[in-house]
Amino acid sequence: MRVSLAITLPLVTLSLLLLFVLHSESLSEELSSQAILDKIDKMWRGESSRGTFSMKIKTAHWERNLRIKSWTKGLDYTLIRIEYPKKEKDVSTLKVKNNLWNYLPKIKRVIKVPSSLMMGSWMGSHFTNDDLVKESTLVNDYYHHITFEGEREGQGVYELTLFPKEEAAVVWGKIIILMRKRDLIPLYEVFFDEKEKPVRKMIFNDVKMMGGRLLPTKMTVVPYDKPGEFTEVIYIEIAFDMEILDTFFSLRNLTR
Amino acid sequence: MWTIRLAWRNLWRNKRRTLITISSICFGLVLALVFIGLGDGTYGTMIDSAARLGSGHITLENRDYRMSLSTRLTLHSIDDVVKRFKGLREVEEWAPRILGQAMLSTSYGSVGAAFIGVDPEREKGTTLFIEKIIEGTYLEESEGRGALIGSKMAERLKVSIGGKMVITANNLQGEIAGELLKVVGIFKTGSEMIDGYVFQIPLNRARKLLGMNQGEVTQLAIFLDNQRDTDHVIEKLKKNLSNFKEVAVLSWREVMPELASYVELDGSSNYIFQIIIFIIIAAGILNTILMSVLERQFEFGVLLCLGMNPLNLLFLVLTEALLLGLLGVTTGSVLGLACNHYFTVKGFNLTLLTSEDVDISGVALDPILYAHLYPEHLIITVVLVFLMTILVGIYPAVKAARSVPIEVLKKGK
Amino acid sequence: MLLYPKLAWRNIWRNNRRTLITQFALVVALSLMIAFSGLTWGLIKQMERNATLLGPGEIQIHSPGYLDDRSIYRVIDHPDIIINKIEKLGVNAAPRLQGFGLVSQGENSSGAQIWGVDLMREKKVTEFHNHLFKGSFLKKERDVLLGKKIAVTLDASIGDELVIVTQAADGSIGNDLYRVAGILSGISEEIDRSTIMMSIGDFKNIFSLGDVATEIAIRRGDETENLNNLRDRIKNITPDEEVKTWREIFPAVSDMLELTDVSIYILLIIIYLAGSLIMLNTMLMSVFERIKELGIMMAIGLRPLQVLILIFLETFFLTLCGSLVGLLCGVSLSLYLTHYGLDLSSITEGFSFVGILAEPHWFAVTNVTTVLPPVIFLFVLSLLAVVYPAMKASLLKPVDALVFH
Repeated sequence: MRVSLAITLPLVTLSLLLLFVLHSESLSEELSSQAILDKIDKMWRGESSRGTFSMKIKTAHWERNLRIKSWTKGLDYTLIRIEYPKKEKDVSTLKVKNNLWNYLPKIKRVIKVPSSLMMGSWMGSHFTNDDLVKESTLVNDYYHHITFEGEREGQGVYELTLFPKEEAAVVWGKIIILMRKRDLIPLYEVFFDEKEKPVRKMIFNDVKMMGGRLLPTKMTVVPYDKPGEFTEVIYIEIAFDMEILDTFFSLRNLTR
Repeated sequence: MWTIRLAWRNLWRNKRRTLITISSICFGLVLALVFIGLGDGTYGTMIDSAARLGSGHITLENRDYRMSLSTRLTLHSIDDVVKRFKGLREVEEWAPRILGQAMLSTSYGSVGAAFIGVDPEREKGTTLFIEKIIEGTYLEESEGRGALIGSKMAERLKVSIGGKMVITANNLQGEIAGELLKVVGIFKTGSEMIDGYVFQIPLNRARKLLGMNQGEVTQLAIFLDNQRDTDHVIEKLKKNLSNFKEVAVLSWREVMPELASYVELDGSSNYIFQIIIFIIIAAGILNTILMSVLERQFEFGVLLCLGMNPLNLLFLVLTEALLLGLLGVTTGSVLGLACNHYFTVKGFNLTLLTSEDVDISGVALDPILYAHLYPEHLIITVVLVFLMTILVGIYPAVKAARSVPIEVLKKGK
Repeated sequence: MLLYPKLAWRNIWRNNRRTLITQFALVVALSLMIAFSGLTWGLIKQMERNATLLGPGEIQIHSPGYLDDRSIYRVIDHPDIIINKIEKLGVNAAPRLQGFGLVSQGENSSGAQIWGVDLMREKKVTEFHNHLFKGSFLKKERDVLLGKKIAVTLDASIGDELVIVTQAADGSIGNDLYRVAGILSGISEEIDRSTIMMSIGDFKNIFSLGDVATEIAIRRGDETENLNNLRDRIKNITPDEEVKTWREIFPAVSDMLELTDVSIYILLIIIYLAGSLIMLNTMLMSVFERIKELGIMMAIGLRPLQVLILIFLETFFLTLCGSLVGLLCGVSLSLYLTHYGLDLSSITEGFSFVGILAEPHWFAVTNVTTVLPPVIFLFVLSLLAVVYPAMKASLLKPVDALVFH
């Protein structure tokens, strides 16, 4: 499970909501990016979440099912704990600002994860450490504009194309998001390398009401270069905007 | 004076033997000079290459850095430090460096690697990396986002010129920091380690990434015109920098101890080899001179009877040995220098013997060996061979002087 | 007919001094050639041993395709069955597992290449257990050995606790605690910088693996057996797996050793040249010195052919005696160097040359290959060397011979 899962989702939703707001106000009115960021900032203040989700990972050599619990506060704080399977119960990750720790209950040790040694993928999934650690946000690091508006497969959709800003520390060359016109719920997100070759795709399904919001509760990541492999995340429950103190995100809580 | 003339004439009484002896001496000397020349040249080149690929002939760094190689152990206010050695005439160039470990990511994966933050302007004159570039260019500006990576790394990250990479590292506060980089050049040194795990970025980019201040670096690399000046420049530096308590002055030997070991070992084995050659040749010369004395025992006996001073006889034989030595050494030196010159210019091409790239403890070796005979090695070798010839002549000379007249006369048929 | 040998033999000892001097040169040249030959062969053998016995072993068996990506999923199942079969060929074999992991000691961490070795069998195939810088070889559960440089990176000493985290074969996070039991001496850049060794059982635990191996390392029981032949014999017993000699797995190392071999042969040739020069020198002179003598003999009635035969026989005996003494001295010197070696460690420490360890303590080998060639060479050369002067002598008119100079 990943930090940005809990973050990206609301983030995407929020930025889309923002666009929805823009759209409903007036298409011809273009807010400056500064103003957009401002609005997002304000929206994010005090944002927190607590949730439980399952993750199924299928690779060429094995298949795994995990159940994970997560707490987040803003962009800076995240605590993740594995609840199932038994072998990995209580393996936890703590992110506080730009520091990352892992707790391994079997040996009762906390290790600080150094950036140069993080394994390519997070816990063997198709999410990358880039996703986990980077502070990159779709809003801060990318320019976006609507590249298509109309009907696809019987639905009214918007297609958004995002290009990274010049100085943004992100690996992608381009991102395309397709979302439902009526409620700006994303349908899928495709990530391209800088030569604009698709590398992975995130597919969103099972739109439901959860925690007081309408959102896709199932997300699947599929790599283009490894057919048959995928990582699937299904939200079991999630709640937003409750009171969590910063001190909750501590090494003590990490080891519980 | 007459000793010399007589000795000379004696030598040429038996042309064949004399020529054979002289050519033995010559052969031994040429061999020795060529090997020493190749050795000197090769070691010199290797040391220079290693220095230019690494931390210079002399490295200035934080006193505690070498023990733990932690990014946090830095040098501060380097401008003051630089003033203390800038003026030295042996110093050709110097360059600031920031070193650290980081993760490089592209959309296709990430690798852990070691980075060197450099000032491109200063590096242009010295760094070996420029010569090894196979694609793209070297880093341009000190403020830029360019990165110079190895061919193996480019393969693993599936990235090419112009490609994006994100560098992630733990900064001085221990937090995770990231920067965007663009590949401007790809190099290939032939060493798997360097080509796969080392890359260069602009100094200020590294500074920003790690949160270092202006005037703060990990190392100062100092490059000398002649690597043989290393030790006495270090002496000077230690004096000049005695006030800077945190600064350690290291030679390439301490920074690359394995290279130092190789040079020592190869040098030693070279000497052993030469000693063996000398012994073999000395045995031959002894043989010749002894024979020449023995066959003239009748003569010598007669001379002694006639009242010649035995000591004179001793000197005569010694002079013969001396002349032999001189002739042998002269021809040997000329030939030896000629061969060395050839190898200095054309070099000895190792690729005739092997096709693979060669490396020693991770330092890639140039497959063409160039000779470069240091003058003092030439002098020592020549003098040694000369002395050897004379030493070898002592026993026969003594024997000659001791030729007891009557017995010799009896023996001499 | 018997007259000639007797005459030849007596001739030699008539002029003791000349004989001894001539032989002196021969003895010196021969002993040094034998000793040097032994030393250089010893060095080559040492480097080859280090390349194999401190690394992959002499032959390895893999699952087909393993060498391309070294994936932990391309393993050999039930390696013991194979090992039992090949041990019947008179070799030693040990199963191994290799994988990647993250190691931490306190605040320090590093990526590492983890080796799982069979404690009993590994000792029969490699020499790691004799190559420790500190501490001892693996004994207890969860003991580990560190490469020399990775120990420094982790700032780890004997008895320290290490955390190792890996991605196990079933995708889960493998993690466990280990104790540093020993640190290896310098071997090669790669091993020093990134290797951690544990028992194969511990490896299977952290990586969640069953009865498998990534490779089977093999060492000959009989050192003189040809490696390629052995490889083929093993291949016949294990047709489903890939069998390769270490040279095929690490061609760069193999090439480098060959380069070193070549340079050593060149040195040897030069030594031979030097020795030859002396012999030529000596032989030439020994004949020319005696032309007067020969002249007298021819004046008495000896025919040219007889002179030739005489000279050859004399040279033969001369060289024989000299060779025997030279052989004795040379072999003694070589044996001394074989036993005590040449210790250069005061001058230098070891270093790695294209991934092969070069140690500063050299040992010679003394065997037929190092002793016989120099002897035969010098013997033949001596005989050849006298051809020219012998012919010249035999063809002279007695009168000319008497005044020859």
